[in-house]
Amino acid sequence: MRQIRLNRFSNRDLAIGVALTLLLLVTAVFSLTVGAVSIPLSTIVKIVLPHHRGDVKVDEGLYYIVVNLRLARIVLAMVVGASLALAGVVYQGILLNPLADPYTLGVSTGAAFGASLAILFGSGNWTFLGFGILPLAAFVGALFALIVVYGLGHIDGRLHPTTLILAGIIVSTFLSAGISLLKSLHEESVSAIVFWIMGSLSGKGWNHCLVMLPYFVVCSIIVFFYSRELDLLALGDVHAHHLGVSVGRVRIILLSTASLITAAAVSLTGIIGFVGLVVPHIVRFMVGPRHHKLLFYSFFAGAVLLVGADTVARTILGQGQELPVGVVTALIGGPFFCVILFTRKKQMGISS
Amino acid sequence: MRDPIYKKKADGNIVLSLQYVCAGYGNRFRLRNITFSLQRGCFLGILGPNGSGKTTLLNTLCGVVPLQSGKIELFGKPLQTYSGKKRAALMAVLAQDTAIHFPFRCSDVVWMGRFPHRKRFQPPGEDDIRAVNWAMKVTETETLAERLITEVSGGERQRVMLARVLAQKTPILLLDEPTSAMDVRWTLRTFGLLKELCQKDGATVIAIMHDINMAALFCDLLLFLKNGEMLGMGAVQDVLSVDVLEEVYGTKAFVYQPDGLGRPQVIFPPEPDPYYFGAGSESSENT
Repeated sequence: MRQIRLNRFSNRDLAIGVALTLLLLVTAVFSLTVGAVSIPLSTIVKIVLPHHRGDVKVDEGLYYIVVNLRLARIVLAMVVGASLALAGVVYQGILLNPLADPYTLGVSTGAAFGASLAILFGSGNWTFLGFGILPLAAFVGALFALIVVYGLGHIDGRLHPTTLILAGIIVSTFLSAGISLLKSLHEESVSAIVFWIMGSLSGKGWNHCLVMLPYFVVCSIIVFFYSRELDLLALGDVHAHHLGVSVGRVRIILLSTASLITAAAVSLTGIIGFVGLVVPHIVRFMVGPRHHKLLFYSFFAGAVLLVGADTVARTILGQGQELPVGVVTALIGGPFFCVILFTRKKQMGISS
Repeated sequence: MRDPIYKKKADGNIVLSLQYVCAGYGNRFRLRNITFSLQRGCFLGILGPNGSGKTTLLNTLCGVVPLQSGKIELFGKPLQTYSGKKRAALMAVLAQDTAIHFPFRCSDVVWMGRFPHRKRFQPPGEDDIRAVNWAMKVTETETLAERLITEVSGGERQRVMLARVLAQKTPILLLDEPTSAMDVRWTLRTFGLLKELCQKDGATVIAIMHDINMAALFCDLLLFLKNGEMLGMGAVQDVLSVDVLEEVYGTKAFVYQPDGLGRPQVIFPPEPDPYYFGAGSESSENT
């Protein structure tokens, strides 16, 4: 008799993994070569691979562009893309809502409000530990919004997914109104606020990667640690409880983790939409809804998507001009999402 | 095929006991003074009209609804002293609502029943594989293994969820209307299977039933609830009487003993609806 086993890793999964890794490498390398200055692959190899550096003389300007501008930006794009995808997986699994994304609980508007306040008070020139005050203000705003949303989402001392989503919408709406108010109070800062909200990776360097890294590493480990519980929570709270999960505790840990990683990402790059919404769906469609796989592949897919989108964002206009990457992800993600939605509704879990 | 956990004898064979249990959310108690204890190998059917607290009782037994006063003991120890995982290793629950939002494969869902028995990051062992295969065999869900839980029919989904509960291999099973979406054949097979688990493996089954006759056929004990209070509990022959039924359901009942069945059955004869009757007499006056 054929035994029903828990298949952990099939050849198909392996193929998808290899394909995603290759795709990520190719996108990253391609992204290194293109831009205001086009740099041939051979030069890049000389710059990046260390044993070449001694014997071949490389233009210092080119070295700076490749390593400190482009490579740093690509790495940040990977980390932020992976973070947003990860947070999206967690939110969708826990809130049992296929339309949930990292911004559902008001993290984005909180960050935007914090950033708008900072811009309004002209803090663009202030620095803190070598960073502009802007990311810090955004981070504080995001955390503040989250705390309010959690506070509102409680009924009888328990968190309810539906109430949480509603609380997120209420807080977001309120803060959006606040941002509009700030804009109208100080018209000079409107363009700065708008540009920040649209999300961009331009001008980001290694120090930003360094800030993001601890959040990324710690939060990823926590989420992977709880991947089995995520599976059970995706069945529904009651089922998870019946199977022995401490629903309240695990849910608050996972939501806080996902929110924290999102807050960190948003405060550095502004609001980059669609990555956290689309990636979990695409990956679920490829490897199924079990979370250890889903999380793992979403990492890669999120990284690929954001590196690709950022490459398009900084090259499509030419002459060193840039689009906000949030616009590109929305333009790529939107139609893609529609196609999947109409072709495979059930597989995506929008059936009930 | 039998799991060793079924053979473990509890003190005095009492697996679950409730003493003066009051439970519910907030200040309103949905359940009042529920007291009973169950021995190993019992099949208890819970019956009662809508809103009588059947599901609340089941949810109190598994720790979802907070206990307000009284005591629940599981294998001689208070229920609250068990961690979630330990409780789930002793007590499996099939909830009434089996809708699932994500497209898990049916076998994935059954595998989730092994969660309480597996450590984190531990690869599945022989016990796990045996339990899952057995559960899917007896519920005949093997053919559904590769299908998505979101795409199978309601009755099939209920069977998959039943397989998940069975794969948990617990000495106690709590089931909330486990056959509500199943056809007659599967209803009979499901209760037959549960009965066999009780008799052969010493499992203790507590099931909320909506069909009194089915309960009379399969259960050892029946518990009647009304407005959150127990109106009677005992062996089927003793408790299934016209008096109890009429008090519980508030409608005329007729109990009879079909030849060769060995168990009583119930018919609720239709009574004329007073409102409808009133309307009828009014129209007759007009003519």
